[in-house]
Amino acid sequence: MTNRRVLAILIALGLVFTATASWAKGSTETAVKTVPEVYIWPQVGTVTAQGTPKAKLEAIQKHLIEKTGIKPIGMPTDYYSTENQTKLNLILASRQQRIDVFSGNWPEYVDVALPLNDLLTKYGPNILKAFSKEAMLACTDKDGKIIGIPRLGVMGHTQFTWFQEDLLKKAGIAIPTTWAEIEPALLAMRKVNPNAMILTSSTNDFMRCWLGAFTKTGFANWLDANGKVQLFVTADGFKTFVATMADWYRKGYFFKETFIKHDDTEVLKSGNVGIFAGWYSRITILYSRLLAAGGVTAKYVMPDRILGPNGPIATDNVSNTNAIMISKNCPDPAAAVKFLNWQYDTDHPENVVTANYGVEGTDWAWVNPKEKYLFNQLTKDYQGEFMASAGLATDVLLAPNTPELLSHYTTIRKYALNLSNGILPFDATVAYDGKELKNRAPAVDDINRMVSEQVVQFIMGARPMGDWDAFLGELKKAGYDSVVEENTRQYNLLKKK
Amino acid sequence: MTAVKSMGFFHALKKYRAYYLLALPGLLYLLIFRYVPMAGLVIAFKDISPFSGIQGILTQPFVGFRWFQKFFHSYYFWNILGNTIGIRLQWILFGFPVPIILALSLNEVMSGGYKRVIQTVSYIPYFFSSVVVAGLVMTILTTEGGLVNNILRLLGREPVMFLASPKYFRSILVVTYIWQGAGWGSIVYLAAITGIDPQLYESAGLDGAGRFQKAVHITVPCIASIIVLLLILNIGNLLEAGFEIIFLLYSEPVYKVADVIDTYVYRSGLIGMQYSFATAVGLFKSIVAMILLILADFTAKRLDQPGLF
Amino acid sequence: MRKRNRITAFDVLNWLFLALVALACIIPFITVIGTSLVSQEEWSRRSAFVLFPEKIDFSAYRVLLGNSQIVFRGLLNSVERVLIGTACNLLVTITYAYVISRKRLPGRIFLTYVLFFTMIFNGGLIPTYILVDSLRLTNSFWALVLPTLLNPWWLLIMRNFFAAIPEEFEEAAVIDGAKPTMILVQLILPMSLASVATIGLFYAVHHWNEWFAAFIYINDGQKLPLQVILRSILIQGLMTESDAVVDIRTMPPSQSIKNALIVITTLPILMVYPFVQRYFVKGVMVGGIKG
Repeated sequence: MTNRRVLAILIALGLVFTATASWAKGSTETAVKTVPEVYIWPQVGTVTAQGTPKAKLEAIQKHLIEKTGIKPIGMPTDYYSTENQTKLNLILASRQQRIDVFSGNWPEYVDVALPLNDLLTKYGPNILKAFSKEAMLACTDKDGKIIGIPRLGVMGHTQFTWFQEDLLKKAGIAIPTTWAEIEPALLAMRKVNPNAMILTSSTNDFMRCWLGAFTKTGFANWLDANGKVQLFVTADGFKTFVATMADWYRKGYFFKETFIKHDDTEVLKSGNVGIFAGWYSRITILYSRLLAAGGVTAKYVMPDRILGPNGPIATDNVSNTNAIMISKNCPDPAAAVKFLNWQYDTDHPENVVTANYGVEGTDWAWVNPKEKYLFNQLTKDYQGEFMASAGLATDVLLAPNTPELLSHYTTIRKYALNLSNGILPFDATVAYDGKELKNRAPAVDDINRMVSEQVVQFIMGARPMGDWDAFLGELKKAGYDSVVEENTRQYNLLKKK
Repeated sequence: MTAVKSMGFFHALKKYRAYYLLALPGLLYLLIFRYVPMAGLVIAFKDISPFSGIQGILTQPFVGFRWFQKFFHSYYFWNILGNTIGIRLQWILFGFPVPIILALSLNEVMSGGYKRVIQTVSYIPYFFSSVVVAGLVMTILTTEGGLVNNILRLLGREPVMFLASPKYFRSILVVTYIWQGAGWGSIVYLAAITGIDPQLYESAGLDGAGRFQKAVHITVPCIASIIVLLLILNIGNLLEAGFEIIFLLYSEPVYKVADVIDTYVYRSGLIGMQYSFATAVGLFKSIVAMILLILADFTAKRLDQPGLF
Repeated sequence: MRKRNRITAFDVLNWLFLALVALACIIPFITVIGTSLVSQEEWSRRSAFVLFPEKIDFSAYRVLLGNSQIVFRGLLNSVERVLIGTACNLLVTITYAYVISRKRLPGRIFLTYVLFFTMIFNGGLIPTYILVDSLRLTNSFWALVLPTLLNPWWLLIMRNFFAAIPEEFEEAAVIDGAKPTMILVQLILPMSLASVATIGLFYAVHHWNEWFAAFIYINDGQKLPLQVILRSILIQGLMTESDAVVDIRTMPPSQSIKNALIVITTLPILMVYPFVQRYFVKGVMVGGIKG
């Protein structure tokens, strides 16, 4: 049959093709191994599975060898793919392929990350200089071993309350800077636009924005009189918070679907969002795109901070365990640290820009060479595979000269490290071991579900506030106390380092 | 082929070696790529970090049934088990017959052109990504200008937040699954229908059977082998309720009807921290599936239908 | 084909039912196509899904397919994968299904059990990955084909199809001294065109759509199949609207990219399917039972 013959020919062709392709690849392995190498897992969002075009990549690699004496080798993969971390974990687990520098939540990678204390002292002075003691402590395990280089360290919060400027102006009121002004502001907006409403991103984001107005300790753990570490849900004032929000929901202040799956973009397009409480980039990036495309005209403004009866209403993020690590299987950790160290040189911000964007002069240039901060990107091919120092420490040194990104970077520089705009949790510098928590208090997952599920049920009115004590009883039944015990145990163990 | 019982093992091996050689590629694949990794199931009884690699899997200490206990003792265990089975049963009840009916219906169309067009169009939803499907569902069901609520308003009724309603959520899910899978699922039944001897229809027609009766009494029994096989396999998968679409559409108000095993495990975190836990839950699902499959197969045999074996 | 002279009520109802089904499928598809052609400006005004765009804008397609070199190579990789992969799949599936469909073959039940257990018990992603990596298959074409060489469900379906062929045909051939391979190829297969076409279609579509295995096993950008490349571009588009900072590239709204991706994925299948449908005919009966 001709069909079969055609198929057979196709198969044969395909096999030949594959065979020659893999054979051809093997024949380029003539590199001289005198230059130390570093294998880097991507840390910036611009890296995609296709990677930078070969010629460009090799040019930048050569440039970096000249500058540092070390040869970086990158791995193309979709940084933002949800599967990206999975791929990294598989490669680390399998150990057949080489990865030297990677990033993630360091407690999860303790078994595969190299302790860095000596290496940093010997080869990484810039790195040590770049971080505060607290930030470094957040990446140190209970035996004093530094497991990773912090990416975020202790920072403020990135959830903010935004107000629609047009509505404020038309209503003739100033930006609220205290909690007490918020409800009247919304009511005033509604006189101008009866559909004005509050939109939130996730439930956790919205609590991080506002809980501080009702509880002294905000959206964080609190220490009770017996020295036990309790969850925010039992804090004094949390019930009032939920009751007030339930009342607001009943009055129709919130976008009805804000707590269920909805399309943020569509809601923002309607122009009816008077107040937004949540993750900043919905406004700084998502909404700016709507503005730039011309479909909406209203702008959103944000006060530096909003004060409640106890202080700021926002809560700072607890210490972040996101870190840059070096694999235990790395054959040349000294080279890896040296390469990283070069990028953390605050006196030479051009180093990190070079690693991230390419050759100075060809791929990027300072807007003002005397003040090395803003820069223009000249080419777009290089994806940043050799950038190994991503994180706040380097982010605040520089800013690409584009309107969208500028607002993002200035927000980071202005707010992210500023801790005074939010409540600082008492255990902010304690790096809780999530794995141990799940091992010793397996109920923690159930408690998480119960809290988020019931808070939403109460606010949306599916459950009456009269049931609150029953809810607390359910928490106990589900194992709340075991979680408290374990948190307390870890806190006492880790708090003094 | 002569009776088997009188034959010795090696004698059979030699006599039928041509057959066994044919099956060899498949067998090798199964052994290498399925059975070898199965050894990894031992992770369910250990507390390991995935990065300890093969040595870790083999040398780390056993923790016995710790993960199973965590799963079974969870406050929500019965809830998520019930949800998983409930959603799956609802799908089997309402969704399983749809591709069959579609295939039967298509088979009755005489015009080849119409039949081809409808058939091709019907499987297009199969290629929609979960994200877009979820987006479409959200758009249709939203209270702010969504199609369904607009119709309700026209009829003078109150708008309903469907995705927040424990009453409607599962049905929405099942309808979505049906919509996505019916067209593609009908292909296998159409293929089975081509194997039916046309003479059967003619003799039934001579006996005075109408179109509908022919479809029910001839077509269906002739493709019974495939129907029963797929039904058994679906029952075996009772603990698989789909993940992506639920994950994209569910939220706190409907956790109590939509939180299934897979979403529960997902929220507890996967690789890195909970790998052993996820493997243990997977093992639990596998054992239940095996029991169900054997039961379903047994029932099928009892009803004189071909089974799994 | 049965001959009919008049159109009955049954026919009309049947047509109506099918027309409804078709509408339920085609309207969303038109919506997807329409949304994929929406410009940035229009996206910022109108709703998430659009049936008919005011202005047809191909920027989503330009972004996805624009870099013709990369896309073309991805397409080549995908086509190669579909052709060779499906051929390998069918080879292994047909042979195994045939063997376990022979009702009186000793060891048939054993082989079926071997298959059965793999349907239920799975070691998981990490052991499988470690195995593939240890076999040095990572970053190679065969990592996309070998780990999922056999789909047990589809194999069982094919087995049932084979088992449905009356035994007399095979017995006649055996008496004539034919070997099993010959029987399979010259007797069973010609009678099973529909099932081979169906299962072949399932495997082919799997290879065409599949991206996860390619993402985790392939590290070389030149070897990526089309789906991974397109998803990669899509993710960049999604991220410009989320909590991330990307380079200055003005992209069309991610909504139109998401929908364009569906169109690009589905169109080739729509074009290829009619060729497959041709095989949905009754198997040709070779010779007769007697003599």
